[in-house]
Amino acid sequence: MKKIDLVIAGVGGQGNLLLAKLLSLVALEEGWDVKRSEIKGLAQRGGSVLSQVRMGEKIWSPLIQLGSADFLLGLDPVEALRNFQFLSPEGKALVSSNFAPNPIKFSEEEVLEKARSLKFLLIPALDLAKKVGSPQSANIVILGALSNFLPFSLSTFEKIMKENLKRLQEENLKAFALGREEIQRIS
Amino acid sequence: MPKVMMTGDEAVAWGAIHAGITISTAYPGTPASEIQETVASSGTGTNYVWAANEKVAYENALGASYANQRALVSMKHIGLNVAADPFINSAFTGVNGGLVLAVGDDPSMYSSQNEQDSRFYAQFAKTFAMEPSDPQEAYEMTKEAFEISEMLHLPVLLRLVTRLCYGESPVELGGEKRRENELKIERDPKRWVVVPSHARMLHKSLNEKQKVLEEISQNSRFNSMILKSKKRGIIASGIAYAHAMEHWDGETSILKIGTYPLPMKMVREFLDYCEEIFVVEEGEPIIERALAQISPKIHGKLDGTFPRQWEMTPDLVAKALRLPYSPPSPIADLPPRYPTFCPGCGYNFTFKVLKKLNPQAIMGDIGCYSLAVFPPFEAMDTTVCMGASIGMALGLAYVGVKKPVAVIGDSTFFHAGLPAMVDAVHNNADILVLIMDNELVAMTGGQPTPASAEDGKTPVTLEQILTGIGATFDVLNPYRPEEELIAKFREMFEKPGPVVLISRSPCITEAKRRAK
Repeated sequence: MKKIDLVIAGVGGQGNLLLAKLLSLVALEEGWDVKRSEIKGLAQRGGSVLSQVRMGEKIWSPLIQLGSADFLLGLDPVEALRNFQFLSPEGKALVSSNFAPNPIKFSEEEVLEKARSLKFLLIPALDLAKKVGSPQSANIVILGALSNFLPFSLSTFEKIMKENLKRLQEENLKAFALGREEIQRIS
Repeated sequence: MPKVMMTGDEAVAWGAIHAGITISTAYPGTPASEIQETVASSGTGTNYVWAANEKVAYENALGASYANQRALVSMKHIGLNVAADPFINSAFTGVNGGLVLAVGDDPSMYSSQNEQDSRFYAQFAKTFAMEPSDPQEAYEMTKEAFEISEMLHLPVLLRLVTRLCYGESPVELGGEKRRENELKIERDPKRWVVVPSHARMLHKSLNEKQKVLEEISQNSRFNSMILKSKKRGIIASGIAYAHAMEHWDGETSILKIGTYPLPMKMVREFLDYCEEIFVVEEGEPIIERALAQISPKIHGKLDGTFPRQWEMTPDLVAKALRLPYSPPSPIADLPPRYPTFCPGCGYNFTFKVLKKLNPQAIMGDIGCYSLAVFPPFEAMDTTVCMGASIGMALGLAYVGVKKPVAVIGDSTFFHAGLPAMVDAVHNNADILVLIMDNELVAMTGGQPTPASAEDGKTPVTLEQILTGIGATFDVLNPYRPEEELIAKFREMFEKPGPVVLISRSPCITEAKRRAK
């Protein structure tokens, strides 16, 4: 039975919820059942934000069981590692190598080393988004990277992005393409 | 009709709109605020009001119902503590127009100070409750809740939880908006004036109604049963039903519960049929306790099969059913991340100064400023409930503590700080009240307070209120140089009796959102 479970880890203000929304709409457009779950409120104030998107023939629970996510998407390397428990042994982690600001001091190199040792596919999502002149599109870079692995047509991704991203549409489509190419380059 | 992605909150709002509500009332609170937000942005012209607190919101809805109008009132679980008085008593008076109370519980406390289970309140009030398992059901239940409310002449409680409120899935909206009820007033003081002689009769008739509630529950399409294996059965309610079905093997017998009081005929049949039964429910073991009294076959939270606290998950169901479950270990020693004030928020500067002045006690309250408990500020000694900052600071002052500080937000001040502030002046209590005024309800997404002039409303300002009750107050601009802030605080600390400092800095996150 077809089923894809995705966890999106990040911090407030990174467009985590928008990324989850676009993914769920793409799946819905392709005729899949979808459930999406997120945590708001306190979490929005610079804390960790976690979204879960589940798609398949019939989805019951909005929650993904630990050790069973097919994809771990990270908008920040630390947050991705914090949610590593969700990833299934066969799952893939597509993670930004750029860090979200955190007043706590730590070694970024150690964190990235840990991520590499767990076979995370690291993408400089923020750098790539800046390249197209839209730093807030790092989430769309990750979406582009992910699109390589999902059984959905490119035209569906484009349709959903055009319908739902009213601002910076050009930049977002470019960010998507860069993310998509980056994965083809590194994997 | 095509299916659209909708959260549980959105589905409840649309259910109420299609049920023909005349008004929706609420006080913001995670995870239920988006019900009212959805009504407000629905484009249907449905009347909505943000009340000063949940008690007022509930009474607004009850007033509308008295005039035969359908009303939706929404709040978070803890808000129902505030609205408990009118809610419980409205089961005595009953309602005229359908009245549905949508409550968002917060298991695991993602944004709350406790995880109380609102189903208790429905039992307490002896009224009908419904618990949806997904947004589609939330939509349909809300519509039906209004029918049941009018049939029983009772308020109906819709019990939601965070994962339902903020979980999104495809929903098919059905049919047109029902016509609103005719506005009419029929005086009936024997029902509506709960003086003791009336109330005694009202309690009797409420008790007599209980049989009807059970019958409705028994026949509700929201309860269903699949009798398969006699060896093992699962009884599950609300979102926990979705978690249980995640692991359904096609053989285990299932009883889905969606309404309360429990459909006992169905439950007894299920108890007789299955040899071993797992009860999967979100919150307190309410179903389990009822069944454990009549059957020894029950497993759940009481016998340790599930933990007593925190939210139900598919993981817990897998473990209880002894399914294969071996998640990877968590990564150790990651840098922590604390939620904190937004960059540039005036709260950063006010709390930096407050920390420096190091008062003997800082009594906090509910809102963004409760984050001052975390580093780098660590300038919050208590946070208990809405309004408790001033009430507790008064307690300290009454027993001789010098100038305890009460930190309270503008919306929280209007919500529950006001009565304690009146006491402070009346008793000439030696406290400093620091009102963190960001000119809206920030934590829940920027809803208006009574001081707002939006939509042509009359602003009721903090200054007007404080002047009216004769409180000594001053206004602080937290963006001024630090020495100036310290001097202002010192000046206020030195004044005898109750003093109020309003630290005013409009929420910058909301300003950014509106600029988009």
